[in-house]
Amino acid sequence: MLFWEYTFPNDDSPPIWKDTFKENYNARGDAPLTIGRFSYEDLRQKFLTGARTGDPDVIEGVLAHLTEYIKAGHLEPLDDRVEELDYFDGFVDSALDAMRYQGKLYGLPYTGNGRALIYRMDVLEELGQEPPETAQEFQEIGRLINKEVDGIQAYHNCTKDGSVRAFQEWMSHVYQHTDQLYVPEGDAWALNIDADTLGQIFDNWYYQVWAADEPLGNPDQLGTGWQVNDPGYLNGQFAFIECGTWLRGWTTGTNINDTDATATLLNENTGVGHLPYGDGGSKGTFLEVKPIMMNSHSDQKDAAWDAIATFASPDTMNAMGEDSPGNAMTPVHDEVESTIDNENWEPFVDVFKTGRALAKVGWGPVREPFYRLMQEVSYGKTDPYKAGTKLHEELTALESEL
Amino acid sequence: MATQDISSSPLSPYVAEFKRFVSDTWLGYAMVLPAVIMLGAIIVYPTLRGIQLAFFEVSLLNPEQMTFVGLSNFGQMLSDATFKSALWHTVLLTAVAVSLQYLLGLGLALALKEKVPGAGFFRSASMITWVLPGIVMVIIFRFLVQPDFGPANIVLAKLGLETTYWFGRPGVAFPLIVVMHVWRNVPFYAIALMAAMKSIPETQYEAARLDGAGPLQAFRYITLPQISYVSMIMIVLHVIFTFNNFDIVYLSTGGGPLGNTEVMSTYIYKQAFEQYALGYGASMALVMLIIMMAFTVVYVRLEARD
Repeated sequence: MLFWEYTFPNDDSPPIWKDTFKENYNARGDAPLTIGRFSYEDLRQKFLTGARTGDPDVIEGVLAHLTEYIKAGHLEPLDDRVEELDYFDGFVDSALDAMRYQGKLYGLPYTGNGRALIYRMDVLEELGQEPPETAQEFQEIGRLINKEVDGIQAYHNCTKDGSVRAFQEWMSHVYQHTDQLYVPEGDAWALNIDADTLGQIFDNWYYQVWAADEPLGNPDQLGTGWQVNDPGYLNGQFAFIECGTWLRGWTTGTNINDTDATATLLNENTGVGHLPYGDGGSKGTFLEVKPIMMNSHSDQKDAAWDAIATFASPDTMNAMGEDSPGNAMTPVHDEVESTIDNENWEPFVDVFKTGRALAKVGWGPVREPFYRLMQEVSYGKTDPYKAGTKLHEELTALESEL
Repeated sequence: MATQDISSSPLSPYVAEFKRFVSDTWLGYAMVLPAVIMLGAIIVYPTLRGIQLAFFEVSLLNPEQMTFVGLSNFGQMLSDATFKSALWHTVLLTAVAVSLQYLLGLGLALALKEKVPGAGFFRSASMITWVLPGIVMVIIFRFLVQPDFGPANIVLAKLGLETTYWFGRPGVAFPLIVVMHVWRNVPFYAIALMAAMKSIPETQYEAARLDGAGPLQAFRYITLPQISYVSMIMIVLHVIFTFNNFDIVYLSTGGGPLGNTEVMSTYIYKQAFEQYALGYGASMALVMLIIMMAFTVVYVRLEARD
């Protein structure tokens, strides 16, 4: 039984989660278990091209992969099998809904989080400001920070071409204006947002950040991805970033300049809130839910099911929280304890509730025009509202292809 | 009962020939058969399949559903601005990087050939860049140009010059990609060219000196002609390597900013694996294959000349 993943911690810490999963699997199944680790991009590419061989029997991934695998016919529906699970009713509805397509369940969720605004409480306090709720307030506070506070930049987001994180950040702001970017219409999909709103998102989150006269971001960091975003915040460079729960336990590693300073920053000076929204928007964000799925071409489906049932069980998920706390801050199951140990981080629970899962369309063709136009706006080559109109045209043209 | 001695039969030469053919030739064929099957499976079949896909509209998500579209994928390339830009970037990158690599490699080879103190150590150390995995090299370069703490930016800041994330700067990202190629491959050129130089008999240089030739003349009329074969092989091979290179661009810039570093290999990858356009990606790969075949023919002819 072959299981491919990219989620177990790969550091020097004791593998509590992985060992618990193996023990639970061995208690339930008898087929020898082999675990293979690949980056998500490799997992996706290998599975899309090689799943028909029957390997791996089980795969873990991100939600966008689930959609692609379903469309490629590589995933086995699990509806009949989940009836035997005594813990099935405990899954959070939104997380479980994210696993469904056309009424069928194609995976079980094991972790989830909503993208939130991570902010420096000490900086806002110094300036006598409250966390911003609207994009307008966010920009005003951001410019105030750049003007008044030395050694810190107001904001950073990802603008690297092809950055998955950049796409997720953009989708977070799309979800502040619409429940889904595309909605089913007959046998096809229909774009569910107008050009002006797309332009406003470009304006608020890319033009004002990078290309305006008083940019919120540091233009020297234009074109960078998460490698600058997350470590930058953890090393005290930014007052605001958009991020998920994984930031909580990140105090060591080559990206961290001073472990103690980062721990203090995360424990005492970091606040969490809903992402600010623009005109006509409301609370909403990108919901990241990670599924574990079964290969429809597997010739060991019973053993594969044993692995899935074990991996997504509350017992295994609680072990996940022990050595990967960021994965269990906003659990996807009622019987899993949240690892939030600091009241400043509790808003993640509310943020998670406003999260929206990606629609089940193939997102690859959507990403390409987004990256191109996002960079054109960020580099000041295109007016944000013209880019919004152009993106609307291109996304509309994709309706029949998705 | 009469018996017939086969050795006296008129057919005996043919039988003997057949036996020899079976025992020698077919044994030889049998020995190479596994290798032929393996090459067929991992090279010939994928290549033919790729050529076939170039004439079909086919999605990565449903590769069984193929629609024959003839030459329309190639027609699409003509109106695809990104394809044209990627092709131009690829040609430019290859031309500039290979030229610089050769010139710098030649200079380094001439320096290493001299019996200067530490040359042996430097010869070994200089290969480090060539043996480093591509991802490690990209991480090193990305670190070098990080804003604030990247060593390159620290030096620039101390000199009072502009600092930025250079991979994110249009107009600078592409030259940086060239620099990475050069940094990686110059030592390989140097070692190969130095080996060729070492094979030139010292007596030729002595004879030239006796005839009054200076160092430049010796280089022009003795060294250069005798390293020309190795030079051509190195250049042709690196044209192929650079033209095909994917990891350096994909890992460092992803083809950005603003498409400034998009090359053929990254664009094909994006079309096939991100846009699911397997047929269109295959058609662009076929164009690349044809261009590369031309260089391969040159390489094979050079090999044959030897």
